[in-house]
Amino acid sequence: MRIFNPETSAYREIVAADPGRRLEVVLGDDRDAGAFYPQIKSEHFGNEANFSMRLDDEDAAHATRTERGSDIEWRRGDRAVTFRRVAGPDAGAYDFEVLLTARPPADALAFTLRHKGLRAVFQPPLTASRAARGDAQDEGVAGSYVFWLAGRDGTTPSRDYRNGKAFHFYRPRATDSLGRQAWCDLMIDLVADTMSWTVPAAFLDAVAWARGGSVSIK
Amino acid sequence: MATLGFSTQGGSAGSIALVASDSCRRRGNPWTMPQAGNATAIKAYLHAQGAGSETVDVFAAINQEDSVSAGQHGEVASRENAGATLGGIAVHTFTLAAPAALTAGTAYVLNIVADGNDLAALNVAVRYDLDTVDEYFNSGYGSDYSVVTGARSDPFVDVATSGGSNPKYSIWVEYTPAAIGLATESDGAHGHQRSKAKGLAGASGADQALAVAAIRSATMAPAGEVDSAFGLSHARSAAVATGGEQDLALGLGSAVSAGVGVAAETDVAAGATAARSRVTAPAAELDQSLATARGKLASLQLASGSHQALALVAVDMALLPPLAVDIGDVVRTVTISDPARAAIVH
Repeated sequence: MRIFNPETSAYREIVAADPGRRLEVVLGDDRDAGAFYPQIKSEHFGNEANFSMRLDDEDAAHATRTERGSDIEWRRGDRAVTFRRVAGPDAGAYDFEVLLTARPPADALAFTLRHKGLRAVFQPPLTASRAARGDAQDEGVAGSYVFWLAGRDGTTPSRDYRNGKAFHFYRPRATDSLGRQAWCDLMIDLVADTMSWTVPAAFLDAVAWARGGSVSIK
Repeated sequence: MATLGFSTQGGSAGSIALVASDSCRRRGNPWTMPQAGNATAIKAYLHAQGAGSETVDVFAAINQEDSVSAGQHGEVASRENAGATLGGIAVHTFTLAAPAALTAGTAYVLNIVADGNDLAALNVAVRYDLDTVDEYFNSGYGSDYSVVTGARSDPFVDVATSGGSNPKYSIWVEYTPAAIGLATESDGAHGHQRSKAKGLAGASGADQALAVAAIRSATMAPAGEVDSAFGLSHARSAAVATGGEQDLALGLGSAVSAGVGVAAETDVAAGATAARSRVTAPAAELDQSLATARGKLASLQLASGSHQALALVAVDMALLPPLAVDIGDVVRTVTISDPARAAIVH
């Protein structure tokens, strides 16, 4: 169950109660009660590790928060963020969907990160040799990142870390209001604590913004 | 039940049998056992790549890395699931005919292969994610599945990393920590606990008695044997304690008394006390509590030997129910996995 706490202006949900894989998610910033921010935080393995990302916005605090069924929306100006719980291969997952209703000045969406106890490993497209071996990747895996629990690669007598995979951050894809799609370039830097989703410029240029066109990226 | 290996579903798929060439691919990674145990099953996320399903022979094995010689990995255990039905992505279990003993600190290659000759339309794969791990792989046997699945020590070769990473396959072993009711392991546990008691020589008699009571419940040795072995008169007073719960309480009491010591010892005692309240809690909370207590133990390096030993006994006993079952694991952890504990018992 997802619960909104008005004292923190954030939602909290226990996504997986399994002690070996306990996962809680916070929507918004529960350390800043002043507003609802376009931010999601996941706490893994009983918060031994966590990861939060916030859409970089010059005036994020002056936005509206709307509950649409089971979705939560943050909206300001010509941008909106929808938090959506989706099915996943393990405990389930969240979509962080950014909706643009005007062409952004830059092709890249910028995010700030906070994290603890994690390392990220880039998942490149298959090399020729791996393809020849008969390997294959699911949609969105090429260009994605797997987040591993740092220093907990094995199993220990005290907790079964299942070799430490915390979560998979899939490569984002842009879809315009006509249904056309393009993969974005995902860049995550855990040293600089930054992340960017770069939409192909030609794709953004082709959207009929003046006639109500839009792009969603997730 | 503990696991060794990668037990989460990976986002990519590595074929272990190809329909076009009828060929097979044997794939795996080496993992080091954190504690001794008896493997009961191998599991893997397998993927029939496409719509529909396949009926195929699948072979999973545990090979001890370099056990024969460099590059030669003797088979420890294996199981073939003949005629397995694979559809979509799912966990498949290969139950071993008999538990296979795995040694702490030893690397085992968990690996899998399937018979390409069985395939009708789909490739069959094992799931993986890329990470900085060693990989073993072999496609050199072509379609000769029967050769690959023999008890070979050279079923695969080490693969160099590509771009700094290799597939980490979703293959794991389920095992029971060793020394659970097996005579030889109980004997070993008893011996280790005696060594621990020797480390208490400088403690007060009362503390020794408490510790011995805890030790006795751990080893399940006859009272007389314990008393005579350690020569501690106070042990007889501890002998009036009957049942695991009383002994457990004695052990916890020791930890609480340790709390009057220096800050590090207080932390340990606090951890044990907290753990005590978890005894009847679900396993998950116990696991969390154990992790916390063990973390506090790491700060115990400068504490006196007697307080260390008492606190360790209390923490271990509080955190690993059911008592009689997990004692062997406690002992093994004390003597092998934890340097702080090793320093105490030797």
